[in-house]
Amino acid sequence: MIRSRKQARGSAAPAFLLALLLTLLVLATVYVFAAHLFPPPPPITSIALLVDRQYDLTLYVAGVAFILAQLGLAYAVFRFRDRGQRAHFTHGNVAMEVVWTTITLVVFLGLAIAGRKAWAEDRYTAAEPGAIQIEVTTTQFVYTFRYPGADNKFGRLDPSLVSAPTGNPLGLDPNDPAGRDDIVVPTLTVPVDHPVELLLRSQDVVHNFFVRELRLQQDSVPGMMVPVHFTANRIGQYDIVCTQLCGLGHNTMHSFLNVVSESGYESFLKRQAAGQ
Amino acid sequence: MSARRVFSTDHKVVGLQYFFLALAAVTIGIVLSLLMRFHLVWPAAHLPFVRGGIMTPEQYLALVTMHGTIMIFFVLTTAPQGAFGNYFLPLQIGAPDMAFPRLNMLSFWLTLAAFLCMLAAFTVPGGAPISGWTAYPPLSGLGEVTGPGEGTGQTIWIIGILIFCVASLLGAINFIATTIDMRAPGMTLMRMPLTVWAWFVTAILSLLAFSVLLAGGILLLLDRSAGTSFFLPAGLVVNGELQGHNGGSPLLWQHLFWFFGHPEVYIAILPGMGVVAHVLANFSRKPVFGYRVMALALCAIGFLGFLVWGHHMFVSGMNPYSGLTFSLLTISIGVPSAIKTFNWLGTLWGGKIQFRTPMLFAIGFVSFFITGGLSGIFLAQPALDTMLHATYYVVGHFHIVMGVAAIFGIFAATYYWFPKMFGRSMDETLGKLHFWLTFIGVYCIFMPMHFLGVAGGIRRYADSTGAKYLAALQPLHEFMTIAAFITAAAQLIFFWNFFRSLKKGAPASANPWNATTLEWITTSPPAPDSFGGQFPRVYRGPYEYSVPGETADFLPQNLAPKGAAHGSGAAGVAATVGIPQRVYLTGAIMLLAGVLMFFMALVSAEIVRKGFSSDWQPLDLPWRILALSTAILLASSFTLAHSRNRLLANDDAGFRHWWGVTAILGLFFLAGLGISWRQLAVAGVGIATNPSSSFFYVFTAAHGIHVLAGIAVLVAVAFRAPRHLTRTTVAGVVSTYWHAINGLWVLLFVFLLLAK
Repeated sequence: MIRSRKQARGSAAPAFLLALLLTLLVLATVYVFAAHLFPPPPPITSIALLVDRQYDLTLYVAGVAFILAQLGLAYAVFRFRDRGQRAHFTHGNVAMEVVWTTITLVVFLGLAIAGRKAWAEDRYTAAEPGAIQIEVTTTQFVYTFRYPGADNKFGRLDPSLVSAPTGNPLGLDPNDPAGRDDIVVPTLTVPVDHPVELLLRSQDVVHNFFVRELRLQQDSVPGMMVPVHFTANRIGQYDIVCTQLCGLGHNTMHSFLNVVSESGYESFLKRQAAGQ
Repeated sequence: MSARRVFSTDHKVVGLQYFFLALAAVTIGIVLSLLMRFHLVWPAAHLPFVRGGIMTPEQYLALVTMHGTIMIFFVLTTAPQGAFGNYFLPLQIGAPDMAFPRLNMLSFWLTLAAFLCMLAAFTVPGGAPISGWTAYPPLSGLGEVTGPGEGTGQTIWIIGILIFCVASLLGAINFIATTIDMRAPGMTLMRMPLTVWAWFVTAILSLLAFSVLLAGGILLLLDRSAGTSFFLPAGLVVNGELQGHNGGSPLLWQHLFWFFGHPEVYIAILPGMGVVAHVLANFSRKPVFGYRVMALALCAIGFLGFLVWGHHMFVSGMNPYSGLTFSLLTISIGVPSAIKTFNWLGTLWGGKIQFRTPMLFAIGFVSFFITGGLSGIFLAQPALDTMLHATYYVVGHFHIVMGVAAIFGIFAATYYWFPKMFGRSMDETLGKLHFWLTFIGVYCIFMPMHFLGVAGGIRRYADSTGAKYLAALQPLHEFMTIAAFITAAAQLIFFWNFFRSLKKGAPASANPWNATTLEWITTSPPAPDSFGGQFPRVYRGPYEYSVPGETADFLPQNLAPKGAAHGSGAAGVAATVGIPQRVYLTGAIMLLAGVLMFFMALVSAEIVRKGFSSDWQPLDLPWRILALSTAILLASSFTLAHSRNRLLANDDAGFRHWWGVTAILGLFFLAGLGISWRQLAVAGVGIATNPSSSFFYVFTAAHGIHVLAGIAVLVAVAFRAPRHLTRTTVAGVVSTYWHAINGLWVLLFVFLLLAK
């Protein structure tokens, strides 16, 4: 009896401390998310906006669950600490199991189904007709962008002709007339408010194309051509980074997405065509 | 330490060996992570253990790879299952040992060999591999040309993984057979402790998952060394050099890897879930809330775990429609996970909670599981994954939910079972201090990773110079690094407490926690035969705490109900419980399940490889010799069946005669395979000639090895009867294996015909 009372006294401090820590965890987490201390940059496409809305919805649902569960845990450890009482004997409650299983199922699946739109808008549809096609080629640790030029046709590529030092990083076949006007540049320039389709390919290992403002990541896989499309609605310069581990220079693999005005884009093309 | 103690088949010794292996591995893993954290904040600093003093990007990536590999395989797979499962599963079900003690010993030594192999990767020229624990080809498939560490280092890494796969498969077979066939009288499935349920389900996951990784690893090794193109497409230009591969699919590796990789996450966490339910009940002095639902939820998580691998591949270039399917399946796993959480809370609710160290870690586990589970529902949605994939958000998520939560499960288990394992107690004050510092520290390290990830901080970056916005996130990195060092320092308290208590801890009684399950009815530490010759009989469920009308607040599982047969007081069955004969057949069937899974992985690889490439050429196989070999193999099934019948008819000579004929027919089959290989080689068709020839050689070699093993067993049994098996058992087990392997050949043969 003496032993159990001593034990009971010893339970107050850890119970209080645990409850306190769990409460602090909830407060700190809610504060950081609510105050937007480390926000992603504003989205620049309508789909990125959908992604943000879905993110917010998920944040609210998960946030409420997080607060309830952690505070519930805090309450339970504090309220039911050993005070010399006898524990309540029960093997469970089927009705409660059914209720919380159903609620979880409905909420979680509802969330996933709500999130379908932001994914489907982007990935289930082809690019609009008239979208500007730009080929993105990744190599260790460089992005190379190719525009089809005035003829709107990409020239043939031949891997055996690849030679970055001699200025042919993609292996363009000089005998293919369609390739003569192709524009090959190290940064990506697109006009604002105009649909763009990127054709992702990779020469060596798996890389990735990630622009935060587009809320878009896509691996570029050797042996595959993966299309993605977007319409950027804000002029500016944005970072393109690689998020797929690709070798020792992975962290330096970087380029820019320049979203420019319609006229700016025209002059970019002219300048490049003259330089080819 | 005598050799008998070191090379012991006692499950308790093997369990401890796994434990100390995991302890060594976790120490190395933590040091690697500290080096990385330090480098991320002070990139120019001179660091210990780093060649050249200042860390290069490739050294950083080698640390990324090895930290992940060591932690996932040699800590999170080894400690919860290999260590505690081995030690306590037989005790908790009242078994004298594991079903196959020698196999058990072999599993451990193979695991150790895999670990040493893995560490050797640091010492070879070029260093350890830089392709991460996921080893995506082509980065991992081409050799040194893709980067330092991708030569010998990557080869050694793959070999280490393959050895680990074999060790885990053998271990899984043992766990399953033990749980199915070796339970004490009265230990029904629904009276098993949840820990046993968890180890059992984990073993099934291991059996099905590691056989797939084994198949994938072998193919990757062949791509690297034999010039095949399973994962390597045509036209690769690496570092200016055109590579000679053709038509392979990098995504095929990702599918095979994650088919293993996602269940692996549950292999790490399920045992922790079992331990936590067990400990929560013990220190709440309450039965586990919803025991049946808890057992079912473990099974549901295990099952669903095999259907969700694609959520690692939302942005991989996989078909976007499958992305949504995988998303819904992934979210569904949240349901049994939530059930578990609710029931843990339900177990605490109305309890009489005693805050002993194991209990604190169990509560910590619940908190982490809530946090990490909820952050997972972001990543389960492909639309959000396009923003969070490969950022620190993912790192934070999986460290909390399967890293640290699993580690807290291991800590709870260590503090809980230390008295049983070593007969002494760990210091409570130091244990609690260790908990508070670690609990706070872990949240300080891993919560900011979520914020970092949402802002676009990218994982596996050696520094933040790549893009300007990354530099703005450095303060978060600084905070996390400081937290990591403090948390790591707090682990020294654990090590001190652990090793000091081994020698100087207060002596522990048989049942210091007033617990109900069978490991507590024997001495601390248990005698070599576990129960001192008195094997228990089980009368009740595992968590009978605070039963109304009873004076004691716990009823051990072996306590006979009032009014039942009164006897010597120790309600046990004094019997020389041996290993029952049926375990051997169960073991053989489990082995065959693993083998089948292995071949299914290869078959699906061939289907994918054939369907997604244009370089497939039908192979002109030597059909005649293959058909003849097939006929011989089928005949051997009949001779073996006949041999078995002779045995059952007590005709020893006839049994031996037909037994021998079977072995000889098996050899003829192998010779037939050899001739078909020779004919292909003469025709200039090698393993790397075409994907169809690659798969043909792989299939025949893999199947031939299984036939060879069958022949070896046939011969061995003919010359020396096994000690523990009756002849009927031997004949039954060998027949099952032989017929199944022959049946498998027929399927493969039909498959080759169809692929023609």
